[in-house]
Amino acid sequence: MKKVYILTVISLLIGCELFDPTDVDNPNVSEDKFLSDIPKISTSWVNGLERQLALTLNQTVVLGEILSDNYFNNRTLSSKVFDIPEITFQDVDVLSMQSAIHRLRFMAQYGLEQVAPNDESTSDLQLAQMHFYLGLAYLMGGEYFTNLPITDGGEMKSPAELFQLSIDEFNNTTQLASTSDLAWDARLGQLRAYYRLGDAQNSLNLADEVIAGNPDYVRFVSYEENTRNDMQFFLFDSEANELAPLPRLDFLDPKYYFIDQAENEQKPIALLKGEEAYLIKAEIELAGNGLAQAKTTLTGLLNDVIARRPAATFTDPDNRNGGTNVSVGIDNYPLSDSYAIKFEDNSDPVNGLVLNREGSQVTVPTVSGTHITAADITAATNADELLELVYLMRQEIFMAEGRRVVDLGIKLPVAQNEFDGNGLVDDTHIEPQVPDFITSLGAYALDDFENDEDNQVVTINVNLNRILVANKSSELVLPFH
Amino acid sequence: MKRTFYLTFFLISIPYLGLAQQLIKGKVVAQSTNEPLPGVNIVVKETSTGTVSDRNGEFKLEIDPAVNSIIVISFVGFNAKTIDLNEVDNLLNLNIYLQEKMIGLDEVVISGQGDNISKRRLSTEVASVDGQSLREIPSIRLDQLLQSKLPNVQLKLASGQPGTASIIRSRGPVSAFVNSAPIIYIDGIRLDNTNTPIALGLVTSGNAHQGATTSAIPDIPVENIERVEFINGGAAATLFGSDAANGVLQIITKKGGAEGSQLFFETQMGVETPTNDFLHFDRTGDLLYQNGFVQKYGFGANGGNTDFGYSFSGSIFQSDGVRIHDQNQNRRYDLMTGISAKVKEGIEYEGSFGYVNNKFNRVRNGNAGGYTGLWFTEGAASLFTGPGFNNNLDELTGEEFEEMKAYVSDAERLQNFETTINRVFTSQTLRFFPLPSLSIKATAGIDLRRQDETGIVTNEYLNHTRAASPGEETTSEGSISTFTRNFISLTLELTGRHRFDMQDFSFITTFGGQIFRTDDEQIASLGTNLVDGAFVIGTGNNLNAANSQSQQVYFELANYGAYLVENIGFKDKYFLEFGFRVDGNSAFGDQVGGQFFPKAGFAYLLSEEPFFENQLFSTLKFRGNIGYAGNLPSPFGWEKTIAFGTYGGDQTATLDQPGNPDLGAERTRTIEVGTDIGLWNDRVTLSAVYYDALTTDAIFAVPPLPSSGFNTPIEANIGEIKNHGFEFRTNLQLIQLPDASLSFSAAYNTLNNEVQDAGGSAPFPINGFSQRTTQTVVQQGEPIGFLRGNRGTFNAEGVLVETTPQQNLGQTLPKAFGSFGINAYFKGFSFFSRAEFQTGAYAHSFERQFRFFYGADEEGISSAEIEENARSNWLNFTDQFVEKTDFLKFRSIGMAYDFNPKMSKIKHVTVGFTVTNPLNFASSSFDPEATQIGGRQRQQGATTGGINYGVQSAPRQWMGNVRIRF
Repeated sequence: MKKVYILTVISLLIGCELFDPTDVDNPNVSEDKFLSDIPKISTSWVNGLERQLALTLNQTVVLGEILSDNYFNNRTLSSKVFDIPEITFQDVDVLSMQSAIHRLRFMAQYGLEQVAPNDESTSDLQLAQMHFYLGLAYLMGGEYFTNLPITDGGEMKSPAELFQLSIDEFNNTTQLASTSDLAWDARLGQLRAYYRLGDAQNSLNLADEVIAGNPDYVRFVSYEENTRNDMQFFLFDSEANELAPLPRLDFLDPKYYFIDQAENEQKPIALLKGEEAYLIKAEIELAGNGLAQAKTTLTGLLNDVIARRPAATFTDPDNRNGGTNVSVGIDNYPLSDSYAIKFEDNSDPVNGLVLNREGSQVTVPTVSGTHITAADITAATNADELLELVYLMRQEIFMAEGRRVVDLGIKLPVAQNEFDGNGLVDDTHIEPQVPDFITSLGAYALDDFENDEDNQVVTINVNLNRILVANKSSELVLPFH
Repeated sequence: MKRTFYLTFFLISIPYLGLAQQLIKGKVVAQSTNEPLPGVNIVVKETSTGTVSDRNGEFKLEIDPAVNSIIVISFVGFNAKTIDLNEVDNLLNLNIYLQEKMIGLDEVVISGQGDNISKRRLSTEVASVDGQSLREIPSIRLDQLLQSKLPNVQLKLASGQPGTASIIRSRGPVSAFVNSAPIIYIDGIRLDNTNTPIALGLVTSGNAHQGATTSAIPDIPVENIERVEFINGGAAATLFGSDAANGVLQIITKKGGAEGSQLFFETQMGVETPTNDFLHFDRTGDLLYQNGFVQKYGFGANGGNTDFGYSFSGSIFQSDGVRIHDQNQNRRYDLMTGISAKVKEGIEYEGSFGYVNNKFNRVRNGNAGGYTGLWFTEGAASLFTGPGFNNNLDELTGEEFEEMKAYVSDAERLQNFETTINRVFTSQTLRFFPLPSLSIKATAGIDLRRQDETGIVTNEYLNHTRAASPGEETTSEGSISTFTRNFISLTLELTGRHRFDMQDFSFITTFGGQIFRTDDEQIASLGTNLVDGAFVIGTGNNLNAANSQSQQVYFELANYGAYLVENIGFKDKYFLEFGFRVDGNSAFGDQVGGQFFPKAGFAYLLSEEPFFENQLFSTLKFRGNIGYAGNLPSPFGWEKTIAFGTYGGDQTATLDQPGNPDLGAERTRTIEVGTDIGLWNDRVTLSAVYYDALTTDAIFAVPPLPSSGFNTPIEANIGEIKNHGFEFRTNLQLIQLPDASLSFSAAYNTLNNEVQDAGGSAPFPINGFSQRTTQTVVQQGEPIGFLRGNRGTFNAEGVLVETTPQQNLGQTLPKAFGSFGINAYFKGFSFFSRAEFQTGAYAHSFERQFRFFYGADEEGISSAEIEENARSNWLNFTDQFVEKTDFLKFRSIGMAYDFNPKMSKIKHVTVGFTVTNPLNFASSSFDPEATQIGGRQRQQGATTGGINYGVQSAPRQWMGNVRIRF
């Protein structure tokens, strides 16, 4: 009998092998599995970084454009206060932008510290790419934020520190990939960092290197069906009238569009382009009273670069109504090329800045465009006049690329989540930076204009580029002055 | 058993010894349920003459009226009754109704105790609702059936559309992470209780958390239920361990009936009407709603003998629903069967099996954008939707209204959202008695629930709702979304029960182990460019949808625990209990071991002391306890994972969830002290409890620091949440006569909830929209789910001068809530009514805010503000659209007549009429219960409702019914 019991128990124990109700397997890939079991992880990681860059740009471009005078936001639920511009550290968009930049930064750091050491196949080019993304994350951090930590919950770094860190990472990039296009990316990135630091000598060296070596170079960031260009959605794809450009920039809109199917025609955004080398060089020359050299540089920009940039022709049914822009009024945006634009109250009207949107196709530059001509440049009588043109050209050339807000000296504070959870963040880090000369203009002043329908003239409320030049000695703008 | 037999024999024999004997025959039934009561003592007063009732409740007794004509009928758990036979006309047909003791000291319960135990021994409360009471209203939803019947539970139907999630909460929410719905068992088997949007489910709104969403609770089997028990979290739930802190709801099904066989057939018919009480525009009702026909047919049988019992019942339910074009139609088949058998001496078997098939339609709801019935009408979006209308519906001329009506009719008709549920459940129990004092119970079972949802958006619908001009109609934007969820839970439990009596002491030891696991697979496919008329994506060369893609998630969780509890009694009036449960769980981080949940309690029956003989107090019990229970983290939530995707045609890898190896269960420590009082032979009962529940290690899905680089929240045990309050219950037996009774019951609960410590994490939303609009938020120092939004300051003229963002605009949890009911009985006629109320909560009406924004109404905003700023500040004074949501809602009013038609085949007939949701009184202009479901953090995430936007109120039902027992 005893044997029967023993046999029963043994067979039950064996039977339990067939049935383990506590057995649980995560069907997803854990970090351990990823780092130890999967081959060639650097390849998918670097591709993930590029995609993250596209996602980060979605944040900086859309929010940067709304914060600046380039676009007014008509949407009911996305940032309505950035148009004022009103920036609070509790704002969810501040959080989105900070998170997007940090994600790029951390993914690059993780790639260098965890992924590459665990993948024997990692190439120098892949390492260089990881350094490049890290450099970009630092650069964007310095451009858009008053302060940012560079580690999880870490110490705050000033823009100057972030720019220096980005310069170091771009150096690492060029050292590891000196002969690839990536080296041009790194040089243009470095140029931007030196420019923001006000380092004229290094900026000039790099600008000359670009102008001499690869003047019309563009580093695009691609978008596709599953990684859509948010700016394109707001400018064109969305059925709702989402973002309306300042009427004097109408001819540059929309930079991103589709003709047949939105999902298959997501347009790239220019991340870095040769134009910047000319613009920075001209600004350095103007700071050194080199009016004539600057004119030459800017004319070169028009002839050697801008003239070669493509344009696209398509139908844009956007009716441009002002939505909830109370000060402008609903349906008050100019829609016809019969309109002339006055840049401010007492300026001369300029024709050709507003396109016919209804019933005809529009032609819009897809990389860079400006209405400034060689004659306009030649006509400038002094450095400040030309400097104003430089900033207008910067605004037009970088339209819809999220860069204008940086030129205006506007910076975001760290978000509430960082403030609440990072002991190294104090009250000084949650104040945004908006230059007094912008605040004093009043709420919504940057997007405001008057439409004289009878005479078909739109008068822009303020000429911000003139104001920028008038305040060139401010530490917040025009770094070489 | 033998002793009872001898006693019965002896008692029955006695009359034959005397002379002038008179035979009496009768039947004893429970007054509340009409069920026969076996084993009832019927004794001639002041003599030893008597008998006991048989399995059918029937008895025969010969008495000598000259000795004494008064008989006393007594039974455990019921109030004793005396009848003077001289006052009875027909001594051969005595129908005796016994009233259950309201305190129910000797009621046997099971939940939280491992096995059956008498309530008198417990320091905790077990609320129970019998099957008869559940049948009062004709609903097929368990949550609706239980409304107002569980004294300290609020069950709010967040949407009136079929199959949608409700908000269920007992006491205060102990977690800011886990939904407050209790875990639910049938016959010891865990059921799927998912009561929030799932990871991949049909969305009839702009966002899964912002509209009607399918819940697993409405399709729980409701046939053949003997009773439902509910225990709060804390000590009562300790034996359920790691996820019982919200309480446990246990359904116990019937496994047998009276000796022989009984059959019943029931038919219910009536009409469902929309609850239009809260509509802003009367015409909304005309545009969207209809009266729907409802019918339900039930049938069943039960019976058995001493060694075998069976009970089954089934029903067919069909409702046209209250949405026009039968867009809320609901059809359901239910079947439940239970059997019990004595396998051999010392081994008993019980089994139950249930099946539910439920199919229903829903319409777009909540924040869906485009055309959405309630947003179009009540949210004033008709201004720009379709051809565009005057959005003040009251101002429309008859002709304009007819035009709108035609537009709405087609927009509603062209929607196609259908859900089908198939659910199978079974529980199998074997009980061994190896020793007279020891019983071992082994239970195994599963709940298998499959949910199929399909949503079809046709080009015709898009063209109609967009009012596309001729020539501009789309033919390529149709789409189909299909969602399948397969959920299986497996429960295995082994429980031992030992009883040992020593003089005045009794020791009941319960020990056991339980394993449960859940497997939850969800698959979604989306087909775009669907051709109109097709309702499958197709395959190969026959693709109805030109493009398709799919998604899949899989959650798996296993829990394994052991428990031990000792209940010590002294003289059957002093009781001490203490015990614990230890749990391991696959969702705990790899640095976390077993989780220990102890409990201890006492109960003292002062009223059973000899020195306390008291005419006034029939029952006086004091009790107190302390106990722990938990709530579980997400399956796999502790693991750091990598996510993959594609970009440029190649694979991408990126960071996914940050993981937390120290992630464990939440621990809620509850201290309870209470008293149960019965006055005047329990004609008046009162129960009062004070509870204090502190959740430590509360899991917060903390938004990661932006600088961490992670997007996904980190689950971490960092919070502390406190709930405390009083719970009062009373029952007044105002009339208690043989043929008439009148009773009134009421419950009143207070609730104080506060997030005492957020562990340094930033506030996070659990319901609502973007931070600029309105959200319900979890934040340190505030109650869970308070409304946060912009508060406006106005000058004397009423013009906005300042907006303060992120302000507390009111709590969504009530400060007090409760229920009351009345039951009356007179010679076969019965009447009942039940109501619920709450005070102290607030909610936000996005519909009002939209009506203001779109200019349909000024909604109390000054004309000076509108003149100055038009409607541009609409989001800058969200506080103006928040209202107090005190309410008193009558859930049901019903009446019935029971009679014996004196036909040979038909034993009993009940004819009744019931109105569900007849009356609503609320301080708010909108339905305080109709709310966006929320739970936006995760599947089965916490929510408190609080945001009214495009949600349909639960409809009214006017139903007649006939129930015939054979």
